[in-house]
Amino acid sequence: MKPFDRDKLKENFWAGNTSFSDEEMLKEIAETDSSEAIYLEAMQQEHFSVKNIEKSSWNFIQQKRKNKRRVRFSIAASVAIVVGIMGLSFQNQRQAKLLEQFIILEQTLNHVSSELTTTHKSDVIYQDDYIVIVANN
Amino acid sequence: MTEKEFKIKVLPLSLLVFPMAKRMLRDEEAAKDAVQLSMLKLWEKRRQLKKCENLKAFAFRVVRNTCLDEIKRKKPVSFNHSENIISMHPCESNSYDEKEAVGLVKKHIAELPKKQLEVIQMKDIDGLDYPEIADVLNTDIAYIRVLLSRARKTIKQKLENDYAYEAVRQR
Repeated sequence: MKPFDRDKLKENFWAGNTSFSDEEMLKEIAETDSSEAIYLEAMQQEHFSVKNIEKSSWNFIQQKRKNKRRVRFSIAASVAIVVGIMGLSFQNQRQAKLLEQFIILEQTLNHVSSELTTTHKSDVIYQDDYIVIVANN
Repeated sequence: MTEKEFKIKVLPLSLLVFPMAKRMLRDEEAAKDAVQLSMLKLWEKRRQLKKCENLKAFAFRVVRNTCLDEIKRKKPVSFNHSENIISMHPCESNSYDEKEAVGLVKKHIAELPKKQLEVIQMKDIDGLDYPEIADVLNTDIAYIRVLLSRARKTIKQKLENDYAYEAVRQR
């Protein structure tokens, strides 16, 4: 690279007009004690990575997904239990109502039946140990 | 976006965003938590990610917002970029002079105004380009160029002053 181009590249670098490839080139051509080299070295030192961050992030997502599923399942189960209890209670109430109606009907029918089978004393014309004569109007 | 696509395209970005989270929160564990939380947010938005033009910039924005929320939550500790850049990473250069010079650069970077500092760190440490930085900071590219140019020129000026002072001192 010509000295002119090198100076231009340095000038552009400090003006913030260089691309990543320009800066890579600058890293290669800059003298070790130049401002550019020292600046790039300082920035390089700040670039660090951490182990397993990808894996831990994914595990975290999986954990949250599991928790979410658990919460959803719990809500669904609770709703099912509530609906079941309400259904059973409704069924019991209906059965009780039907039973009550049945008892009333049974009592009514018994009453009618007994009314029909019993005879009033005023209708008996004659009665002894062997015979009863009833007026049938 | 499917689980497989997410693992290939989004999850590796956690490596890139981690330094920014650490710079902002000044604590490795807190930074890890912030990155994990951001990845969860991205996972929950995975259906919209397909439409996203620049995933890298979007991930950086999500992490930056998560860190800012975390800083707000822990209000007594104010967000100051300048403190971490020197203290977190001691110089790893070989010679004493080089160490000193690198230390000076870091000191000058740390003294930059907040916005210039943020841009210079995103450009030179995180490796984001101008459109990506503009996207993360929700501003226009021209303004980012101006900030970076000013920041680098300030550092150059300060370094030149240091060298001039050193030359006079050695005479």
